[in-house]
Amino acid sequence: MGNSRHWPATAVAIAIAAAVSLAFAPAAGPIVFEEIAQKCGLVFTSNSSPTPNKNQPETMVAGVALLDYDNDGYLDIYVVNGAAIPSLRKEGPQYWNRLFHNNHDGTFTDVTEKAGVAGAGYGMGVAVGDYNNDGWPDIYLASVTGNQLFRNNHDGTFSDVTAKAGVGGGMLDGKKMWSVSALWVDYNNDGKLDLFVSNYCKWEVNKDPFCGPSKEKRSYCHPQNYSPLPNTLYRNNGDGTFTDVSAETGLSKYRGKGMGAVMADYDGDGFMDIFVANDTMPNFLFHNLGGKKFEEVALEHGVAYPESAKAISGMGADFKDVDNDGKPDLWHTAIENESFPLFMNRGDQFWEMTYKAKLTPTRNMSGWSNGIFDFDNDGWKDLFVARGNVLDNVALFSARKYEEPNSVFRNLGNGAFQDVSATAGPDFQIPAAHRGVAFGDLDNDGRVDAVVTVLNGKMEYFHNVTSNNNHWILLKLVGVKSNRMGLGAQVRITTENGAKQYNHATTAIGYACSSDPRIHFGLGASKTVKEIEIRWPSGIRQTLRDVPADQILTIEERADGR
Amino acid sequence: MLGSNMANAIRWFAAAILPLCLAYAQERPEQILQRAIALHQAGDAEKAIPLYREFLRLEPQVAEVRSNLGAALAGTGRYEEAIVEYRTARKQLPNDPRIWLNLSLALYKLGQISDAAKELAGLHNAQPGNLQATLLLADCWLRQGENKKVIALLTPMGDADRNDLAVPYMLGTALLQEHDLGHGQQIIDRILRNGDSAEARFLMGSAKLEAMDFTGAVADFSKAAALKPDLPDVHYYLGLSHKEVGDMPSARKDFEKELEHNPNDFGSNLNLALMLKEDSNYDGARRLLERALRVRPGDPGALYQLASIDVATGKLEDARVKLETILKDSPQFIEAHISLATVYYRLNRREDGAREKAIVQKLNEEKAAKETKDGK
Repeated sequence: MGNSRHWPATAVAIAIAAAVSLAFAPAAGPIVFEEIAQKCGLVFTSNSSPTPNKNQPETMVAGVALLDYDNDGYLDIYVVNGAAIPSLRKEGPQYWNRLFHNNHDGTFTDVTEKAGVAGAGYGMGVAVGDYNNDGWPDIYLASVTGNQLFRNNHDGTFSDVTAKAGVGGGMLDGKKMWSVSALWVDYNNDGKLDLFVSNYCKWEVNKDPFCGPSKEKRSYCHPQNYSPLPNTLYRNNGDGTFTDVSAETGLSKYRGKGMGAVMADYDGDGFMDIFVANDTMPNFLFHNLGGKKFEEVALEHGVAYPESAKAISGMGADFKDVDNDGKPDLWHTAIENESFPLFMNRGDQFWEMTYKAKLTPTRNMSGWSNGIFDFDNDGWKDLFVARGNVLDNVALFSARKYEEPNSVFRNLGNGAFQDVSATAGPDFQIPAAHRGVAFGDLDNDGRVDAVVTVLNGKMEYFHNVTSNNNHWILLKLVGVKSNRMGLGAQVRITTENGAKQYNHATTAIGYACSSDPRIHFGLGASKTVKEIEIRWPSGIRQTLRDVPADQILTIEERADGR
Repeated sequence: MLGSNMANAIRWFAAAILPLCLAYAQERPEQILQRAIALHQAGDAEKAIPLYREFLRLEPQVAEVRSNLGAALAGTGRYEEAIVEYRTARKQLPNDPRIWLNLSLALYKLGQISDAAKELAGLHNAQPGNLQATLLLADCWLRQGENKKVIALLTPMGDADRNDLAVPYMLGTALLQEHDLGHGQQIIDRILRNGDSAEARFLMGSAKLEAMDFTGAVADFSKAAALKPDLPDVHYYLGLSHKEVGDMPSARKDFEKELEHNPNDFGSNLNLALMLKEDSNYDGARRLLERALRVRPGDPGALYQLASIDVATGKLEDARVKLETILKDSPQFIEAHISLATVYYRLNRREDGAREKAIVQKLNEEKAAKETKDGK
């Protein structure tokens, strides 16, 4: 793998690097969020049915998605929920997944019943993608029990098409595997979104072994107590059905304890690769071999383990370019005493830079979902993590607390990050058992917001109120030859001063979550974008020039490249 | 131990060796031995070691002197070498309980708890009344989670000496870990009613650390350190406990404090080095690791950390050499295989990398199979 397969190499790399650091001077104000879920009508409390038996899924609920299900231009919110134990069924409305419609006025309305998306079974993750290329986002649920696919009916309702589509989840030894996250990806660039599902471990209700120092302090067991599972890949047949190609593509021979699954084209070959954060097992980096097969290359490329060479508790992950060099980097979360490794893509290899990047404070954190987004629009993507200890009773045998506040790290543009959580507003300091977090611009003001789930607690909506004069642009891609949502499209922008930034379209984020499919860029002081270059999954390259900042721009794929 | 061994050695020497030694033109063996003993008793074990060695070169069969050499080596933290000497001495004097106990202690200090327990079990069978051996055996079993064995061992002597806190303490700990809360707590309460002591607190802290009650461990080690600040290892274990509860600043201070008392404390050097490494203070970490390696030459863990600093600082060839060295002696060291695979790939030695990757996968599979078998 060489740099030539990435974006065209610049002959003046050093000069550009200098220009970049000048161009994206730190924003004036701190990153600040205010938590306004209740005020907005986002009333939702997840329910994992915690029991004395300490069933493993009880501590892992659940994901959240931001999607514009009614195509009104505003992101709506879909949140996943648990179920009763031991039935693993949604025995009442307290277990329903919920869909909240964005009313465009800062409020939301629960439309779950009308939409028909309450779901069935014990939920975990959610992934949004337009699998039938009709221009309307569909919802896939990854669950402990059967997975579900909800097709968007264009009228505010959805139909459960799981059986017809054949995507109810992979089977092993006659049992449906426990799925955690899902990822819509056109792995073979045929214009149809395929579906990757990460599976966690073998598990049966109320059969978890006893773990913990005493009966009174029984705890959720370490993942080592459970056997690993292979992941699942469904190829989209284009007729509403899918084919399980896990074996055919070589994926099924790798067993892990899959949590977050994210994608990026790490080697610039035009095919999306897939990273899976494994829990207490080496991570997977599935290199896409021309849309036909995958080879697992995490160890070769230095992302299987952190620098300590110990398998850690991989939880959520994101796979984006944090240093604006055109190569997507990897950041995944873990639990306390492990740190959240940041792997910088240096071309042939990823190098772990966690400590050099000043992410040392993460050693003391327990992380779940996470994301790499530019929260202050200064042109450098920052880091956000939803935090909470795995063990609800950790305080009984440790000085740690179950509830933790979330954290945000500002990208200083020099390879280092600064933990700016303390100045991110009073609401941001409140600890809780955070689990999922999805990102998107819910009020279309150019600032990326975050919606966070809380295990057996109230959902949180962290409205980004960062105040500065920085500019932004939000790109909504519409594929024509490529998949309709443009997922997998790679975008390079050049701002007025020649600085470049890179991102790609994906909804997969963190742990079990699904984010805004639109691509966000912070532009710093730049009032226009000199150039936007898009590499569509179809291979088409399209360039736009002199685009005004501070707008949501819809870009349709054009074969003539304009 | 040193005093009684020494007296025996000198008596033996006077009767058996002295006449022979008179024949030596240069410094005679007994003079060498006397100098060694004097230095050792004066606390200069480092200087005593070469003299003991010189004596044993001349008189290799003197088990008591070999035992003294073991004691001097152990006193300077060179436990591996001490074990070699004690084992040789054991062969020469198989029934000497002091040598047997010292061998066990050295194994214990080195963290080879399983081997120490085996030796101590043998010693306990041979000398059931040896309180020191019994207590150490109980401690080893506690560390191994063999709580039922501890209970069987200590229950008959639970009330033997009300002033000796160690027996009821360990018995109580074992009972608690076996979830016999009623009896366990009664015993612990009884210990505390008898008054506080640093040693008791230290043991309580150790057991709590083992039982992953980290908050409790911090409290007990803190109390032990307050009662007796120079209690060996107390700051090290307090540091470990602080580390477990996530209080890194306190842990760092604890390790530093332990090193003030005992610059050669292996664990404190290692842990502090890891912290400096996380701060990207690679030079500082390297210094501490080199000191740890002087204490335990060739220790694969410390050498591995040095190699990982080489990896982090881009000294890939240096890292490769270290990792290959480690793996010659420790072929099951999976982290070293992982790092070596990474180094090979970064050096563009793909075939070597692939070979290491295959080893990693095999070791991972074996580990997973063992965990399944052990019911983890």
